[in-house]
Amino acid sequence: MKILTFIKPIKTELLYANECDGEKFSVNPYDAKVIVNLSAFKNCQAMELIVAAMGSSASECVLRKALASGMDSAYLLCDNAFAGADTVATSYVLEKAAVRIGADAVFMGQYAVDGETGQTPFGVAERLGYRCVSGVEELREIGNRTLTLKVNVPNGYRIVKVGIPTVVVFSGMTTKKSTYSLLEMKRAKAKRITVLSSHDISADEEFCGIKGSRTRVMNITGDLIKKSGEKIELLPSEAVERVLSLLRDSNV
Amino acid sequence: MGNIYVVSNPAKRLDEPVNLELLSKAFELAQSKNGMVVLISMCGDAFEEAVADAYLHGADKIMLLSGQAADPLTAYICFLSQQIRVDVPECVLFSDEGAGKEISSRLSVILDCGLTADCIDVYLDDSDEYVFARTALSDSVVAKIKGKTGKIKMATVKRGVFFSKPCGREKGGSPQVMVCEVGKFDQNEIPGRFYEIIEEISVQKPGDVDLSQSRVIFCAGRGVNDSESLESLFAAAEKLGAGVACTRCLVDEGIMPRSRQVGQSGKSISPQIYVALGVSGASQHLVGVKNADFVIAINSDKNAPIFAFADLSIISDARIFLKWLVAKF
Repeated sequence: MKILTFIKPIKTELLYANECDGEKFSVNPYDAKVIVNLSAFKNCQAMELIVAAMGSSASECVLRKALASGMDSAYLLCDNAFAGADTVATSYVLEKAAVRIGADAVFMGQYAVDGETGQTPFGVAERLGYRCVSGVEELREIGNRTLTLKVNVPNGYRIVKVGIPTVVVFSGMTTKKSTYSLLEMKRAKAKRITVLSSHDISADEEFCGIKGSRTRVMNITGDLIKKSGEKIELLPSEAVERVLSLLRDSNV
Repeated sequence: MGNIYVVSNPAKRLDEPVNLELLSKAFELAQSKNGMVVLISMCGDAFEEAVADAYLHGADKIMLLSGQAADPLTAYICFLSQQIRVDVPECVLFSDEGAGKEISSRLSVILDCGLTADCIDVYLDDSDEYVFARTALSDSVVAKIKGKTGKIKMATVKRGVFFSKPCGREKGGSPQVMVCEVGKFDQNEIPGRFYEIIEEISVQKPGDVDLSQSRVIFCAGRGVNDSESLESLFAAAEKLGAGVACTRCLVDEGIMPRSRQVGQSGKSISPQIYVALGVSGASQHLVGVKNADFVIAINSDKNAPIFAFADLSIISDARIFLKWLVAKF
């Protein structure tokens, strides 16, 4: 069974401002949860784990990390035509890629931390004509043509068996970094990442990127009111005194 | 004439708070467009008082999809897509909760029209075009988004963003109610539709946490996500009679319950004093605390965005701060 996971490269400075490890891009934490889950099946013969990301060549590093975490092969969807896509255009490209790669099941994270729309997985499922199982907490088992999943529901959770083809959307995220050995990273670096353009996935450029988007951002404003409050550097013990005195003075 | 559709989630009552909020906003917009407000639902029963309430909040027409379907969600989406194609409303509003996200996302692909997620405002600009405002990451910004092509614009809206208010109609009136049978919309031929529930496990989820009454709220961010810091935080908050909130990161990592989450996808709070501990200050979080009177932010990163929105910014290690704070009691 071919399981294709789409991961989104996020600028590291947006995610981990204080712990930049030199890489320009990091894996979207919602997608990282999918990779962590799937890596438990890395030695499963019945499954081929494929990872794909849409982005520039600089974002190749996120695919290397996914390979080091146990994914078998990686694709980079890289084309200027893909840039500036909204969810309608993104789901178009991802669907074309899923068809080109030939996935039996498409796994995705619930959101991307930069866009936070949560719309793309459903759009991909609609375009592929697959059932979409959302709120997934864990992949439990792989059957012949089925997946057993733990799914969150309002009053608890349920264990379900779903047939392929399907789109599986995980809920929640992890900011825990994937663990892999130096040897695993070395092997990942030796693997070839296949680059796919719009032509390679038979995508019509009219439906990709900015051209294919059905929304446009008019402007971006700092509508949240900024304050020019006091800014001070204090030892934690001094900070405690300051906060407690403020609470006392405010009589709350 | 620009009609506006409000799409209720399946199995939800017509007078669900979020439906009434969306109807109130839709009525306001429809006034300027000389259009009708249509509420669409798959709730089965349309109770008389719920219909009346929807009318009082702006619904001119209610369309109900009735009957049992093998795949209710797909049937509902199929019905909606056909109805929208025929009637071509200018704007379609959905709740972002439950199935609303899936229904709207699938429809945007089926109808090839723009969809803006989790709006915090919808209004008409000078050229009478719809503008959808939503928050975006970094620099705590609000993005104003317009539909690019086509006549239909769609948006999901979070509960509590709009005020639910009667539109000034006299009691006793009623909207036009149309009932459609689910039959022809029920498709059973989706590939991979095998879906079997093997086990259903109920979990006693933590009850709701009321943060609305707390005059002081301590909020935990990713900078204090370790168990020792959180233990100290709860202990100190209890001594000080303060409430404890958190950012979404801690909820998504399973560290804190969703009932304590503040921000765009959580609660909005308005305490007298709000103390952010190890909170970076993503705009999605800040929209939930914009009504706090006094904001204190403690973060070791001197460039944390939250400092731009704080009345008192303290550059300090929030984890060690908590150790010192709890030692005071």
